[in-house]
Order: sequence, then C-alpha cells, then structure tokens
Amino acid sequence: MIEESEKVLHAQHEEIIRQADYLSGEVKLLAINLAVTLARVQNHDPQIRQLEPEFTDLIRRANDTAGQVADVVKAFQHQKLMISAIPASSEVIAIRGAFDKTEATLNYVYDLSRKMIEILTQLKAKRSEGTNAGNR
Amino acid sequence: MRETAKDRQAAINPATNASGPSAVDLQLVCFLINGQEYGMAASRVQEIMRPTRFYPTKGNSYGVIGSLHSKDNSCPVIDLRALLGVEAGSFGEATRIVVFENRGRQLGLIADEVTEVLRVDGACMEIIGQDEQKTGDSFWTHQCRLDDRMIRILDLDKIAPCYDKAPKKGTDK
Repeated sequence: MIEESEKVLHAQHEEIIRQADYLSGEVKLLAINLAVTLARVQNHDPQIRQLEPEFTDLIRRANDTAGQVADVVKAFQHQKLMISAIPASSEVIAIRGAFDKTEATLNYVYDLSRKMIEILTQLKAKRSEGTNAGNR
Repeated sequence: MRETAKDRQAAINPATNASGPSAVDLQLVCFLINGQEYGMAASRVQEIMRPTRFYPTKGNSYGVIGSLHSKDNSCPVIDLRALLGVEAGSFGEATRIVVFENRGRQLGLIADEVTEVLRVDGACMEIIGQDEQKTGDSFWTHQCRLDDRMIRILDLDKIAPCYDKAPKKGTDK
C-alpha cells in the first residue's frame, strides 16, 4: 500500500519536473524571441531604444528564474529520492522562494510589457495621423 | 589603419546605423553548436523556433539538411556542422532553429541550444587570424572575448554563398 502511494507520488513529481522543464524552455524561447524583436525595431524609435536594455535584461533574468525553478524542483526530487522522507522545511522555503521570485519577475515583465504596448499604440496613432494628414 | 569599434560592428552587422548613440553596442543571439559558443547579429534574426515543423531532406544541397515550414512560407535549414565537415548530431530537447534574413531570403540554422540575447561592447570584438579563418571555412571573421567566454561571430553573408554554390542533388561528395 505504502509502495503504491510512493509510486503515485513519484509519478506526480516526474510530471512536475517535466512541466517545469517545458515551461522553462517555453519562457526562454518566448523571451529570446521578444529580445530579438526589440533588437530589430529599436533603431526605429528612441523610446523603444531607451526601454530595450532594461527589457532585455529583465528577459534574461526571467530566463534565469524559470531555469532556477526547474532546478529547484529537480533538486527537491533528487533529495526526496535520496532520503525517502518528507522534505526539510528549508527545501520547502527554497521552492516557495523560487516561485515568489518567478511571480515577482513575471509581474515586472507584465508591467513593462504594458508600458511598451502603450508606447507602440501611441506610435501607431501618430503614424496614422501623419498618413491621414499627408493624404489630405 | 586601426580598426575601431564602429568598424567592427559595421563588419558584423551592415544594417547598423553607425551614427546612433549606441553605435558601439552590438546585440548578439548566442547559441551552441558542438559545445562551441557562436553569436550572430540579433538584428538579422527573424525568429527562433522549435524544430516541430522541420522536414528533413536527403541528398540535397551541401549544408542543407531540410526545410522549416513556418506561418506563411518555408525556408531551407542548414547545419553548420555539415559545412564544417563535422558529424551531424541528433536533435535534443534544447535544439532550436534560428531563422535569419540573408539577401532577401530566409534561412534556418540548426543550433544545439540558443542561450541568450547578449549586449556587448564593440570594443570586445577582435578579428580572427587568417589561419583560424581557414579552419572555419571563413564563416566567422570576428570573435568576442568576455571573461571566461569566447564567442565566435558568424558572418551570415558568408554562409549563404556556400548554400548558393552547393552541388545539386546527386552530385554531393
């Protein structure tokens, strides 16, 4: 009975690790593509050029954090297999810390993304105004 | 004549506006092939993709190992290892295809892993010696030294001619 529940727990942990790895890969791919897009467009606008270094740095940190979450989950799983016991509180704190850090970073990415979108919307509006004025 | 940081950047990324305030900065997409770190100008990169819509081809042009079907079109995918005469590796979980612009066409390049987009000072760039260029079939003319890292900068314009001059089907070595 205990062996059965351990097997279920093990399978659940394997799934969490797989998902953490996949999520880490997806965040990294998305972040790198965002940085590449910013690198391409920054020459066209001074505001984007001003924001881009901060944004790219943030993307780099988001990458690192996503990777750390996967590493922490893996380390936790390894530790769990080694001692076959309930994880020590320090490990739980480490996992919570990693998730808190991810949440904070993603919130920051969200705020900065909104700022970028606002700037892009303003730029589009200005350009369409210019085009309309030119057509008149 | 001494090469300046602006000259170095212009050599790597011809699209650079050398008169801009960040003219000496260069953004590189860094990736790994066979454990060696390479970089290419981020401004030339269009997209980085998982090889999910990659279709391998056999007996095709030298260096081209298949094609990638993206949203609206498809583009040939080259493997730098084939161009360098190194044995081809298998696709792993981290394998990505870097799609870049070259003379109005899209080309894909297989990378074992795309690591980051890096901003480097043009002053970190140095020209690779002629002997080293020969061993690399001149695909890179510059390298970037950063602490314990050495990034070879791919000259994307030198990759395409190899594809263009590639032997036709059935004439591969």
